[in-house]
Amino acid sequence: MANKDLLLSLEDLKTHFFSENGLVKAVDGVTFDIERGESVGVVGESGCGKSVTSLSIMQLIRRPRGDIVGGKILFNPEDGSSIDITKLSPGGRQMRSIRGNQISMIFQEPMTSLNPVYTIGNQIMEAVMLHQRSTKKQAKERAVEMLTKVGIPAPLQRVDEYPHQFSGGMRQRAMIAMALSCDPEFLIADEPTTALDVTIEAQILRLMKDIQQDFGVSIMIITHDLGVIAEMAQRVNVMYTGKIVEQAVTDDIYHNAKHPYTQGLLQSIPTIGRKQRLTPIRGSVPNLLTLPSNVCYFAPRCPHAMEICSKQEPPLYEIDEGHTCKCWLYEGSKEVSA
Amino acid sequence: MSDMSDSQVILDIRGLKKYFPIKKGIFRTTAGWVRAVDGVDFFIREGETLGVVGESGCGKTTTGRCVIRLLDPTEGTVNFRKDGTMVNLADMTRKQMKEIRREIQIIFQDPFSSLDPRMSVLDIIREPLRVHDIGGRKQHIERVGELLERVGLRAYQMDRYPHEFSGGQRQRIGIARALALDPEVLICDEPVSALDVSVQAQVLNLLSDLQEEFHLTYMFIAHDLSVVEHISDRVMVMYLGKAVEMANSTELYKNPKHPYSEALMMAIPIADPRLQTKREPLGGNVPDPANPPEGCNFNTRCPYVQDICYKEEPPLAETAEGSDHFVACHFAADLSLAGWESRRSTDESA
Ligand SMILES: Nc1ncnc2c1ncn2[C@@H]1O[C@H](COP(=O)(O)OP(=O)(O)OP(=O)(O)O)[C@@H](O)[C@H]1O
Ligand SMILES: Nc1ncnc2c1ncn2[C@@H]1O[C@H](COP(=O)(O)OP(=O)(O)OP(=O)(O)O)[C@@H](O)[C@H]1O
Ligand code: SF4
Ligand SMILES: [Mg+2]
Ligand SMILES: [Mg+2]
Repeated sequence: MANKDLLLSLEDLKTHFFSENGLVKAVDGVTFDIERGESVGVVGESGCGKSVTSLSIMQLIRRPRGDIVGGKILFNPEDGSSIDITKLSPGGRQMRSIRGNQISMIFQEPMTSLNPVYTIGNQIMEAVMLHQRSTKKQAKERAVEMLTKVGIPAPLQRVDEYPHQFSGGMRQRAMIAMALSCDPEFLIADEPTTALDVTIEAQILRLMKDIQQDFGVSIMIITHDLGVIAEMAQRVNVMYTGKIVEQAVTDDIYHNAKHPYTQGLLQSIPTIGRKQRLTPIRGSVPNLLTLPSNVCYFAPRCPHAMEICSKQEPPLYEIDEGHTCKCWLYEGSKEVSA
Repeated sequence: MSDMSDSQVILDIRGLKKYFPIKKGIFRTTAGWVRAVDGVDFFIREGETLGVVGESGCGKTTTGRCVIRLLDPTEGTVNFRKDGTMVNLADMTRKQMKEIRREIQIIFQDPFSSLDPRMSVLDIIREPLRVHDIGGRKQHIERVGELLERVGLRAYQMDRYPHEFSGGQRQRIGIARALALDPEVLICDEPVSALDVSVQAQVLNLLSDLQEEFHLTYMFIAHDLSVVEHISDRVMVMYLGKAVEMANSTELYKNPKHPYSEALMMAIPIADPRLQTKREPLGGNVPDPANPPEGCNFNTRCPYVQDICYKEEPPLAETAEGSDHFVACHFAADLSLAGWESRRSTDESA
């Protein structure tokens, strides 16, 4: 059996959509591990498959439009069991219990997980009572406490309001309060702060960090914001068109990036105090519907592209211990089987 | 005047207010007013970029729209230098404003909803030319082709429709439209916020190049503090409908003088794991713009608040004659606030 510190491993996960216009390989062979108590980042631009990866872990991909078509999602909760989530029925008891008790998710779209007909307080209380044997009064206190923690003004009054009475940023914070209120083992945060102002963002990220440190919660944080990842993650997975192209500890991603896409992303963002012209990546993210197969998908935008890049898909190379990169430039390094 | 007095002020905004009515009940009676912009003073010099930052709902968009009269200000003056003399846009009739729009244009945030999906790129970009009765179809095609090439697209793409373009390309179409009349001033309302970072960099470079080439003046509204620092010569910080600080961008980021600006500097996400000190979150309650606090409007969240802050509203004033650094805080001269560089030092992490 694998490493006992391993909480979750994705092994060659493939989640595809069958749209009218053709097949969309939204997640196409993703492999990575999350250790207990670790925070792992997934970063990449719009449409690269970040949300679909997290929805797959939660078994929330709607069939028949989309489905997990390959790979494994091995989940090893603290109780010692080991479960392949891809084998569970999405609506079944075991999956529902995992969703309610062990894995919490903060969704990119707050309205999808808040029910408009119940007060914010009732929704948090429900999550609390589902998980802990607490009285209604205790659950309500917990709801107010969580709303205070995420910076909702006047929480005693707000707890009895409905989602539509909250601003977008407040809804996002209410959802974070709800996700954290049931003490999950594993928290998936999909762009948890994208809609928020920086001062509130700082507050939420601090809260998530505190919770991770105090309760040993593992976190998978998904974002396109390289600043948020730098602050939150211990290890980073860089995604491009449904595949992980580079994986390393956070410091290596920022100071020793190997993949031309990662390098390009870092050069695209402005750095305060350095008023240099930016170096963008040329072109834009390709349409997943029209991707050729067996090539490097980054080749048309890559400043280092070679002949082989548009003829054959590069394997994943191990550059260093714990640092992998899917790029022909590193041919000769040790290949890792995906 | 400041050491930059050689470059002239092209827009001078004083006491700008915009209140929106809050309608209640079946008779839609006015129950109160949202003070979206509540007495803003600022100016923009010719050829510069003034960045505008501040939290969601603080009135950035409303300010930009009042300047170009897409909204009618409730109060205040919007002086624009036209042919050497200042004219007040707030007083102008629709007809007079039409003339001014040749010189002040706006680029919108959302490249997906700001372009009419039923119009071809040609029709979108030439619309301002039509409105102003400039040239015929032949000239339009020529001009649109030129504009498309200039913003990094191809002339042959003018027959296509918005849905055939990516977000970054659509934003380029919006920029081409804004440039069609050869304006002097561009109000850019979050022009890159909806774009992927790799494409955002392309559009920021394009805006810089166009500014140099056509000597454009930009009012650049954004919430990303790194983007604003990168593109702006000067920055205005807004809070709850007011300008609380305005200064040279390097100066403002290094030496903020308003406690809210300091809070922003402490909150900037920095894309370098080696520069992570604890980001100090701002506490306190976010006030309701329909019911702003008395005195200084930041008093519900300010860590340095004193009695006077609940009683008197601090005016926006220059820190010293000629400093070109304007602040609205009773204690601007006394407080020693931390700039973004303090985030680099590790000794302050508790
Ligand atoms: N229900 C669906 N049907 C068809 N295609 C889908 C569906 N959901 C996602 N996709 C496609 O899968 C790809 C990956 O989408 P995903 O939402 O994971 O992107 P993302 O990385 O989260 O992007 P963003 O940063 O914009 O949130 C996209 O090309 C998207 O269009
Ligand atoms: N047409 C309108 N009617 C009523 N209220 C409005 C209207 N437009 C804006 N407001 C209110 O005015 C305030 C300022 O809004 P504005 O859009 O100018 O903010 P902003 O700084 O641009 O915010 P964001 O960063 O979210 O774009 C907000 O409280 C907003 O709800
Ligand atoms: S494989 Fe080739 S095209 Fe792809 S990133 Fe590496 S060098 Fe660039
Ligand atoms: Mg997503
Ligand atoms: Mg706005």
